[in-house]
Amino acid sequence: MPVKLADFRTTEKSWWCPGCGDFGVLSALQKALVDLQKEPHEVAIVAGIGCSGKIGNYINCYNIHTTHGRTLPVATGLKLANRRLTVIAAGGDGDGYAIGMGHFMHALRRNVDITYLVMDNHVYGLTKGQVSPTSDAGFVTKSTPSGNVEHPVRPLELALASGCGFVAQGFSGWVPQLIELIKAGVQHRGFALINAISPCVTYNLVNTYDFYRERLKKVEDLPGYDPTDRAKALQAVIEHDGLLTGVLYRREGPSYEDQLPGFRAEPIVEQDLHLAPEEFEKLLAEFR
Amino acid sequence: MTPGDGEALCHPEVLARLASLLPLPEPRAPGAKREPLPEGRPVQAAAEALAIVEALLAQREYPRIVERHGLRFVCYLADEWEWGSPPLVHVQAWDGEMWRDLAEVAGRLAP
Repeated sequence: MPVKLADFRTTEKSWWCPGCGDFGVLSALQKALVDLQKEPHEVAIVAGIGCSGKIGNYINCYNIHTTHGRTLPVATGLKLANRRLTVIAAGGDGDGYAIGMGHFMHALRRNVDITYLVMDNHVYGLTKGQVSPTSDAGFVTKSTPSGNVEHPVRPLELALASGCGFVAQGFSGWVPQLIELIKAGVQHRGFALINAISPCVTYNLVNTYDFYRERLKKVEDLPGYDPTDRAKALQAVIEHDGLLTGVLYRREGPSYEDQLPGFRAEPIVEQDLHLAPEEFEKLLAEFR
Repeated sequence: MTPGDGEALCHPEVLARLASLLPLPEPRAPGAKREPLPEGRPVQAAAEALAIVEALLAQREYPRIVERHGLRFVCYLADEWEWGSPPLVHVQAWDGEMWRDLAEVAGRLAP
């Protein structure tokens, strides 16, 4: 039986605001998994804290709702325990680029085969509208009534500079493109970052759908754009102030787990972990 | 979008419910001073509700949002996000801080 969209649907009533960008991301994720013909039991979502962290509740597959900022270490552990799972870490810009930044940096260079889907709305929505790490300078919120005096984190530049092998950006107002980006990210062997611009319709009235529709450009429309050229990708991202969508950079190569000596392909639960008594004694003798 | 979405949202009861939420002038009370469009309100509101639904359904990209008369209308089609759900229009009002739901108006699916 082919996998259908209904297989990934739940009856959970949505908690997101009407028009929230996260609906677009959820829809794209479900459709991408159907296109890839992944069975729900083959997929695990590891979600962080924030509005976006609810995504795991709205999709029928394995779901771990982790603590704030800890999506990537949990997703890493899950993938290493069961390499057959399609592991998708999901969260927001606060979860990933503030409290989770330490994990983010190392996940980029470690290259475990997981897809990291960041719903970036430039604001803390769940806590009713404070400045986030990706908020623009000057952005007025409850926590920055005179305007944000900090400059934003630039996740695409960070990812490119840190050697991430798959860097993409989508927009929840352009679901068909986002579907293709998620499919490419899941199929990529290694860590895949997909920064999904996902407007908050309640607490960010600056970075709206119209704001992005007027400014975003698709990399395939840039003359001669080559997504395998990291230096040019970085240059394009800087020149366009991060307002690009598409696969910005991809590099093929082995993932972290491909390179671990003695690391087995089968999940831990299927491995014979029993030691024969003579092997146990031999091991014990080494510590006597 | 399916033809069923349009039929469900253009159902007379759905349009009447939407029309009742529009902040158009109320019908004139007996003896009251004549205001603009007094007797025309039901017709005007019904026409405006239909125009709003048509504007929502005409949008091809997510999200389907229309702002009219100081209200925001956000539309989800049948089964778009919640399995087994009819098409839905959230009617929201600005409370000075954020858009809050005044009402959720569900489309009428054919039996």
